[in-house]
Amino acid sequence: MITPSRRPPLAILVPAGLGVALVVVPIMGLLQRAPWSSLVERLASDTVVEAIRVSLVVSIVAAVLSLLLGLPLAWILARHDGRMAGIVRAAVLVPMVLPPVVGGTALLFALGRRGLIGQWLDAWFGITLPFSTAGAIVAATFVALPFFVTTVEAALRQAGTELEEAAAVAGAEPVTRLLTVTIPASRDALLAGVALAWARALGEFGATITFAGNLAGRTRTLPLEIFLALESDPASAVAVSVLLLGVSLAVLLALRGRWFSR
Amino acid sequence: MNRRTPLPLVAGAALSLVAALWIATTTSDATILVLAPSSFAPVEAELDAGLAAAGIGPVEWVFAGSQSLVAQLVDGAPADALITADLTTFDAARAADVTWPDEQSIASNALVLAVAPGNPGNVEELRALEDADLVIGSCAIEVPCGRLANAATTALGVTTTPDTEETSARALTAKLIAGEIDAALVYRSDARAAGLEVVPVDGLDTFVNEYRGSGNARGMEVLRWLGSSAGKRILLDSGLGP
Repeated sequence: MITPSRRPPLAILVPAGLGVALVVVPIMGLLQRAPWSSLVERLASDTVVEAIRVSLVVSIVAAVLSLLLGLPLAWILARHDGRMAGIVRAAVLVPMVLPPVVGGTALLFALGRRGLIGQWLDAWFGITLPFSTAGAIVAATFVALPFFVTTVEAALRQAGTELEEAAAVAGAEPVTRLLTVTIPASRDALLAGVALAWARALGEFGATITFAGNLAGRTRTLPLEIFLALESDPASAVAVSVLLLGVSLAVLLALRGRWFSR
Repeated sequence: MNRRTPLPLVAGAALSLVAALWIATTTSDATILVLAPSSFAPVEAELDAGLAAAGIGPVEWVFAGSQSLVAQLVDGAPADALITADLTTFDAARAADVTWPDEQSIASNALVLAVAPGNPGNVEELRALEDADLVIGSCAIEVPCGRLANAATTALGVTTTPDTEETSARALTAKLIAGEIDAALVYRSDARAAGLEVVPVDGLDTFVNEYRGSGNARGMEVLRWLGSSAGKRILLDSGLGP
């Protein structure tokens, strides 16, 4: 039996400290450049407020869609271990490792006006997703969904199995079991999944600008506003960055200890 | 307790780290590093061949949007020469003190009205940019192509209502190639490189961006060659102007 010492050995402490520094130092660099005295008025400018509105609509709808599509998906993946489930799991997680700009290009080729499915959407229903808020939502959901699915699948694997079996013995249908037993039992994980998906959707840049373009009031979200402002008004770009940083930190702090809840 | 030592793992990690650093920091001293606008990228091979024939180089090109290039220089990126796609950006570089005393005008780039493959929007004139039923793209006003397009449309009396304001000329061209945009004002060099169909517009070619460069002694060798007849010919073939 090894008793843990109060202080980790230097060989562990040094690389761990460097790892923390790698993440924290750039954040300090950002904060040190922030125009604190004019922060509020910069964030209250018309263009930023408009980008905040677009960002809120896009990220909240994307988080809700991630919940609606991701929960059944996570439930199936948590209850099945076959090869098919493995392939589906890998496919759903692809947006996590794919460069977002590649995701945006793929969306364009699938749902664009000349795309695989998009050409029929356009011809039959007159729906074109690129350059619309709906398109920005699709792009955000594309990158956010895997964060919800991984978080919730891990929780569903541990939570609710026995209760579900008991409910099954009692004669409850699968959908009834999901709604009345599994969801209440894994409420924390669902919250964490939605919050992570929302935070990822809020920060989405590459897929959005590639698939949905950039138009104020329609598809220009906060990250796009930052990218554009870097060209003309760097101080405002930093101000908006600080806002996004604050929101991300708040989400992560709220999730502390709940990430993969029991 | 498992007594297997992690030594091979640690040694392997250290070795790959050293190798990566060595690769990352190795650049030949003879190489001339030129930061140039993306519109030079399609003719990189021709430029390299021409420079080699003139006994200059080898040249290593860094292609990006002009503001990104200036930002890289401000952040301390190494370079022997810088070329920007418009004078506003060049002036910003000069103001940021990342240019050299020697300067050279290299070329110019004009705008053309380019349409999606097959011209699905039946675009025949500049006024099509006002058509709300068409999908119209433009460059954001913050970037050189957007500034130039805004000057042109304002002077020619056309009020555009774009469906997207792209953050670079190349991104805008890419969406035209994909057929997602019906029409847009793009650089002639980009349209030519992409083989896009162009609708002639009277007076549009009077709006041009000047490509200007600055470099140290070795960088200026490249810039002067670009301004020579041999260099000019390659740039003109790519759709740039004199």
